[in-house]
Order: sequence, then C-alpha cells, then structure tokens
Amino acid sequence: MLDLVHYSTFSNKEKFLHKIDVSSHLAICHSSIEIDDRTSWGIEILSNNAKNVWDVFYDARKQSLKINNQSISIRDFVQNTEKNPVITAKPLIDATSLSYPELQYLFYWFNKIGEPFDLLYVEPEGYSPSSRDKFTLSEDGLGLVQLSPFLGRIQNNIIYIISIGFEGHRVEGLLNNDEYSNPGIQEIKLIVGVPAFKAGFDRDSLKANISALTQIKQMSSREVYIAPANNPWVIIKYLNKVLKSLDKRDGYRQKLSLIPFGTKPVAIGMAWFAVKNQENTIVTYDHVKNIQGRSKGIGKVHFAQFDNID
Amino acid sequence: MKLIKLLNTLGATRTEQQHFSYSVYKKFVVPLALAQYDLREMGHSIILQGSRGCGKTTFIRYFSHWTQFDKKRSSLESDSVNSVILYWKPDTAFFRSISYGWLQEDEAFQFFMVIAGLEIFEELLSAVDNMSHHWPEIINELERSTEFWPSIKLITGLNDRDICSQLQWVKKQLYIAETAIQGPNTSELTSISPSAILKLLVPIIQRECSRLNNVRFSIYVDEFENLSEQQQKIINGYRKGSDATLTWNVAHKRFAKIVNKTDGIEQITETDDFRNLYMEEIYGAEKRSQSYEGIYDYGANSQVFTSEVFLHGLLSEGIASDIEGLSCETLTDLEHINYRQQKEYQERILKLMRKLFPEPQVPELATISMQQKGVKNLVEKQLLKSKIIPVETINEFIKKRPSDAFVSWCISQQKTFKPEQLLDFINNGGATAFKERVRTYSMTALLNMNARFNYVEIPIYSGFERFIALSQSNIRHFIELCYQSLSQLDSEGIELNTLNNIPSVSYEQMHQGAIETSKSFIGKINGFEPSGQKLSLLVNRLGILFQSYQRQAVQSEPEKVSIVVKSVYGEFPEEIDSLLESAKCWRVLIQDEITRDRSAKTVVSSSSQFRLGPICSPGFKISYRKGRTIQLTLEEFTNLCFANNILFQKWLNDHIESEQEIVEQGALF
Repeated sequence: MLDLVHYSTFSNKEKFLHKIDVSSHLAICHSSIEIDDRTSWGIEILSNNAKNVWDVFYDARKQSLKINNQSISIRDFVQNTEKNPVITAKPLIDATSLSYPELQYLFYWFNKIGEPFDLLYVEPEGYSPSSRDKFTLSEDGLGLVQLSPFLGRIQNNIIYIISIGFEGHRVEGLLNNDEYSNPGIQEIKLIVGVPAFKAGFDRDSLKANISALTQIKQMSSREVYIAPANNPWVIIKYLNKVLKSLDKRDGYRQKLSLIPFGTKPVAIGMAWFAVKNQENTIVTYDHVKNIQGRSKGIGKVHFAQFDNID
Repeated sequence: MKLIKLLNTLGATRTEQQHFSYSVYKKFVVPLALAQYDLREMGHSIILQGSRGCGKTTFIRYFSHWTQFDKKRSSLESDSVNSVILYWKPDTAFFRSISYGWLQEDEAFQFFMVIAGLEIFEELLSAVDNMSHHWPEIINELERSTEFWPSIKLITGLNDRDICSQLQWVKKQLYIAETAIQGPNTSELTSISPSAILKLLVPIIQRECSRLNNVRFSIYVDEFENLSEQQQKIINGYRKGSDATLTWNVAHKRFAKIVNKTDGIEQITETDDFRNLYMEEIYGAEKRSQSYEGIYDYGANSQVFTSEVFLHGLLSEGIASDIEGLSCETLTDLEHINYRQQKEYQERILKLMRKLFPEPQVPELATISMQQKGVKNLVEKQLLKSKIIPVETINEFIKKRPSDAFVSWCISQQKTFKPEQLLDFINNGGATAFKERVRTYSMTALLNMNARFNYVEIPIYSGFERFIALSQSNIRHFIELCYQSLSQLDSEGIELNTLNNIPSVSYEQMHQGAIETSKSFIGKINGFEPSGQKLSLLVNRLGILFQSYQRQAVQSEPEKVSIVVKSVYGEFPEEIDSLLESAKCWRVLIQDEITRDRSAKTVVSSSSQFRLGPICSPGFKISYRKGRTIQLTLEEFTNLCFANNILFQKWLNDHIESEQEIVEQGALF
C-alpha cells in the first residue's frame, strides 16, 4: 500500500539540485505553458535532465487527460485500461506546473496500481497584488464542479473543508453560489496556512479572504484550522482526524467535501487523503485558469516520496 | 429588546441556513396579488422567473404541501384543494457533475433518472404524509386501497405499509446510487424514474382518496437553469406531456440560458406548452409598456410589499407592532389580503417606513450640503468668478437661497453659462430656461460635488424611496439596505419594544448603510459563477467610467450612467454576448430601451443600452437614475471588458480627455 513516506524541504534550488538526481526519473509536468519563474525553472530542469518527460494537461470540459498529445478519458485513466501510457521510469510529479485535478488523477492511478512515485514543488519568492489587498492569480474557469469519481450529493449533511489562499473570490464564489448556500453549508472548516511560505503571506491571505471570512463568521458551525502552508503531512493527519469524527448515524457515514483553494502543498495533502478515502470524500474544484506571471522568483523546493509501506 | 440584540439576531437570520423542512408557514408574507398568481389555480405548465434574491423559492414553497399542510398548522386555509404542489430542488451541483464524461451517455441517463426518481418519490410520500396529518382519511383510504400499497411494493419491494419505512428505503437507495456512481457501477441501482413514479402513483391517489378526486398534482423543479442541457431536455419532455392531472413546472433566474428542446424531437413553446410568471409582477411591480423585458415601475403596491417583508422580520424577532392592522398574522395569512389592500393601511406602512428611513428631497440635500464649510467655500469661490455680479448679491444669494446657489455652482462651470442669466435668476427669478437648467442639474450638482471632493459627503442615497430605487424591489437588497442603515445607529443604549420605538435613521447613516451594502455587493460579484471575475472587471470598469464622467468639472449633460455599444444590427461577438447575458442574469447590468442622446452624432445600430444595477451606484458614488448614454464602439467595449489594466487606464484617460474637448466646443442650452 502506498503512502507518503518522506517529505523534505530545501532552502533553495541549488541545494535541491545538489541532493536530488532527477536523471533516472520519468518527469510528469505541464510543460507547454510556463506561467512564472519557478514553473519555468522546474520545467527546464526536468526537460533537460529527466530520463523521459510526460506533458500532462486536464481538459475539464471533456473530463479527459492529454498525455503527450494522446487524449484519455478520466474513466479509462483511473480504471487503468490499456490506454494508459507505459511507465518507463520512477515517476516524478512536478506539482508546480500541474493543476489540482491533474495531481488528483495521477495520485489516483499510481495508488491504484501501487506505483511508487516522487513529487517536486517549488515555492515562489513572492506574489504580485493586482491592487491593494487583491491578488489576481487566475481567470474565470468552468465554475464549481465535483471531480469524478469523488462525487456526492451536497443536499446531505456534509462537512466542507476549504483551504484558503490569496484569492478570496474563490471562497466567495462558493459561499454565494445558490447551489451551495441553499440548502446551506451546515459545517465548514477552513484551513489557513500559518506559517506561510514567507512572513507576511499569511496576513495577505487573510486580508484577501476578509469578505469570505466575515460571511463564514455568521455560520453556526465553523472552525479555523491553522496548518503550515507547505506541509501536506499535517493536512493528511488533520483530515484523518476529522474523518474519525464523522456522523455515522443510520449506517450512512457523513461525507467530507474538500475544496482546495489554498497552497499546493495543502492541496497535495487533500488530494492524497481523497484517494485514500474515496468513499467518504467529495472533491469540488472551480477550474480557474492560472495567469501568466502570477508569481515571481524561486523560493524553497519541496521533495516528497510516496512508497509502499507494507 | 436592545437594538444591538435585534441587529445581531437579524444578522444571523440573514445568513441562516435552511433546514430540512421546506415549509415557510408563518414566514411568508403573502403578496397582495396572490389570487391572480396562485400556483394552485394554474391550468398550464408554468415557468416562474425572477432575479436572484427576489423570492422564487419561498413563493413555490408557500404553495407546496410543505406549507399548506404543515404539521404545525392548527387548521388549514381551506377544507378542500384544487391542486397539490410538489417541490423538487434537484441537487444540481451533483447532477451537473454526473453529466460529464465520467459516465457513458446511457449511464449518465440512468443515474439521473434513478436519483431524480428517488427524490421525487420521497417528495410524493412526504406530501401524502403531510396531507394525512390534517386529513387522516387519506392514509385510511390508501390503506384500504387494493392498488396503493401493492404499487409501492412494486417499487420498493417492501411489505411495510408505513410511509416512514418507505422513506428509509429511499434514503438507502440514494446512498447506494451515490456510492455506485464512484465505481461507476449501475448494476446495483434500483429501477425507478421521475415520470413513471408519478404516473403510477398519482392516479391511484387521485382515485382512492375522496378529497383528492379531482385534484391536480403539480411539480415545480427549482433552479432549473443549473441542470445540464441533457437533464433540462428530459424535464422539458415531461413538461410537454403535462395534462390536467399532472403538470411539470420549472423556476429559474430571469435571463438565464435554458434549453427549449425536449429529449425527443420536439420543442416546448410559450402559450402552447407553458406560461411565464414573473416574480416582480407578483410582488406588485408594474411592467412599463413597450419597455425592455425586466424593466418595471415600483409603485405603491410593490413598495408596501417590500416594506412588509422587512417589517415581518422585525415582528418575528419579538418587536411588538403598534401599527394598526400590522402583525405577523395579518402579513402571513391569506384572510387579511383585502385589509392590506386598503389605502389607509398601506399609508400607515409607508408612513412608518418613511419615518424610519426619512428621505431628503434634492433641494434639501443641496441646502444641507451648503452647511458644510468646504462646500460653501467652493460655491462662493466659483460664483464670485462672475465679475458682473456684485459680491454682496452673491453672498445674499448663498445665504437666502443656498440650494439654488449650489446648483448654480455646477451650471456656472459650463461653457455655455452666461453670468447675466444668473444675475437675472438671482434678482428676478430668471428666464424659464435657466430655471429649467437649475431643475435639470440639481442632482448632477450633488453627484458631481460628491465625486470630485473626497472630503464632501452629501447623503444622496438616503431615504425609503431611494432604497426602493436602489434595490429595484429585490427583497434581499432592500432588507440589506435597511439592516446596514440600522446598524449605523449607536445601537448599544437603544431599547426597543415597538416598531414606533425604533429611532429614525439619519440621512448620513442611511447614506453610509447604502454605500456599505453596495460595496459588499460589488465585492461579491467576482463570486458570481462562472464568469464572476469578468463580471467584476466589467462592473468596476463601468463604475470607474461613469464616475469619471460624473467628476468632470464641466457637466455638459446630467448623469451619464448608461452605455450604448455601436455594432452592426446590435449583434455582438459570442464572448461579449455571453458576458452580457450573464451580467443580466446576475442583475449587475440592466438592459434598457434606447434613449435619444442629444450628443449623438452617428446613428446607433444597437437597439439597446446598458447600465449598472442601481445597487452598484453608492459604491461608485454615481447616479442610480437612468441618466444619459455614453456611446462606445464595439472595439472600445471589448477593451473595456477584457483589456489589461494598463490599456484600460490609457483608453479611459484618452476617452475622458476627448470628451472634455467635445464638451468645451459644444453648446447644449
């Protein structure tokens, strides 16, 4: 059985390159678009050094993955049909360039086939606000949609777990969405990234989400969970704790609805938890489109290993 | 009760989440025109439309069995019914997700049919349960029926002859379906469909229950626009097949994009297959003749109703009514509609609202603003530039007729201004043209002063009627305006017992409340899915554009707060069209019939104009009235919608600059 077995953080890219050899890996990234400095760096390192490279892109409208220009439906992909590509070396997932759905499906597949893999994530040096207290890091996407196969009826009594980042409008989009606000969000848990990637990011994140937080404050059952912004371990542990507390009355277990709007490491924790607890988890994502130049510089580099624990 | 406690409770209620029961018993303020729009009396399939927050859902729930047969009722409104209303709010977030590529087409169809069928079965069983509570003979007759329970057994396989066990079965099957979809695996799904379940059971209920013999069953599908295209087509097929015993109806946001095709080869069309009902008309607004769809006059009936909804909130929280004839009971009970239509009663309601939220008229606002030293100095300095008018005359004019002096400040900055006309106006009342000009530019002057000088805050958004104009009878916005205004009071020490105890809110407090409501609304636009960010950008840029016009020193025309986009035959590219449709649906833009623009030099092919929803006005310090238009080319409008901030700012600067040149060259009066 696969699990997250190792997670290390390097203070800069040089230290990462000194310690980790990517030349024997099958790099999996979204190489066709270089959004910002860190993404470009990651793609360059992987393209030039990895044994093989897969360019992966998720098409939310078609619910399919494009791997090196070959389209495969999500259903075929997660069911591991013969349409899936052949893994030629140990996979190294570039979480910096890949979006949440792409990570979610890769995790699902590797977990299903018991394929150990590594993961790389690069923090930015900073984000540029588009105006005071407002960060425009992405454009409108498809809107809130549940990610198959993590589906479930939201009219049931479910617990929403939302990680927040710099884009308060994404949380507001959920809170003001009639589909969610009626019948209503009975229980909500917010994951706030503290400590943040850098001092001051946590303050920026709270300021960007102030309007959503004000709305959530009015709700009767809400909780704020403070967790490091760059540590998926803590998130997995927290979600497991919440899972144990779920209402199991009438033989039907309550579900968790995961909404990953926060940092990528937190999203990695959520995605891995969802894979391990599919029956109890709904995953909802808004499929926003990242915009060019959303961050600046290259910060710390994270490296994770998912391996068999049996 | 302390005002602060009331505000806290109201604050919680405004965000209160819905609970399981759909009943709005004692919570629904009955509209005066209810008889005309009684859903139980409708002989056709209905589409109920209205903007977000106008009360569509509450309206349907009022007529549904959840409210009409609420178990908390001690007696029913009537001893017989013509129709039973079922309410189905599909879990659209889930349904839309199952319609994508995860499932094959046949599986998506099967899952939708099973889950929808189970939910509608649950709704029908709940209706039988609620009706039997008040009319026990229903369950007794069904017990004796040789068809009802055997038919139920056919569906569920259960021998239990009680509703509770059957509902538990539904719950279990929904759980199985929800789990099976993750496979996906259709082999464990039960066999059920929405239409079949009703076609099987409704005729039996109608036949076997003496009270329901000739009773029509109507099912209302709420938030229809959020279902996928294919799911809408399936429901449309049911709507097409509606008959005298069973009708399918839908409710959706006005201007939402919906499908008119069925899942067969047919289409559904108005008159033949359905009738439209509009919430604004139900709540008393009057449609303007030959005006664009969705444009209404919010007359006395509409104003009274909106006020009653607000007052009902206060009464429900324990504030006693000292207004003759006003109580929770009179507002929520059908019996009292005639009374509520009486002029005297309506005047009492409006009088109370005008007392709580007093409204300064425009001349009064101008007079108030002149009490601010900064404003008076600005006016004095400007008027003294007219060399032919003696200083004493100007000073006397400002002292004796501050409102006229204030408007003259604005007019005197126009290129066409002639000091002798002002002198004549001061000394002799002036010619009609100047008097007319003072009347025309009074609001413009107030808006201009507010927009240009940050230290000036003239309370132009205050007052009950202005709240009605700002909210356009949208109940959610109106209540928010009232609530935010009351929140400005120093609530700590104020004790309330009765409605008349509530102190009047000052002009400044209402103005502040309106600005906060507006800013909060504007801030939420980027969450209006799926184009929230684009809508937010459009609204903010239009707000900045209108504000730029309004802060110009020379106001050639009053209040330019609408745009006309010049395009061939009024056609727009798909991207623009879709954004405008979304903006109309979320009510952030309002489409008006075109008004003649005095400055128009070219023929405009576009047949309509757009302005911001009035609730956005206080946030941008712009006019909430219809105003005059700004003409934009399609290229300019496209840039306004999509260009980056640097390009937009450059365009705005150039545009305003060229506009100023035109103003300086032209002569309006």
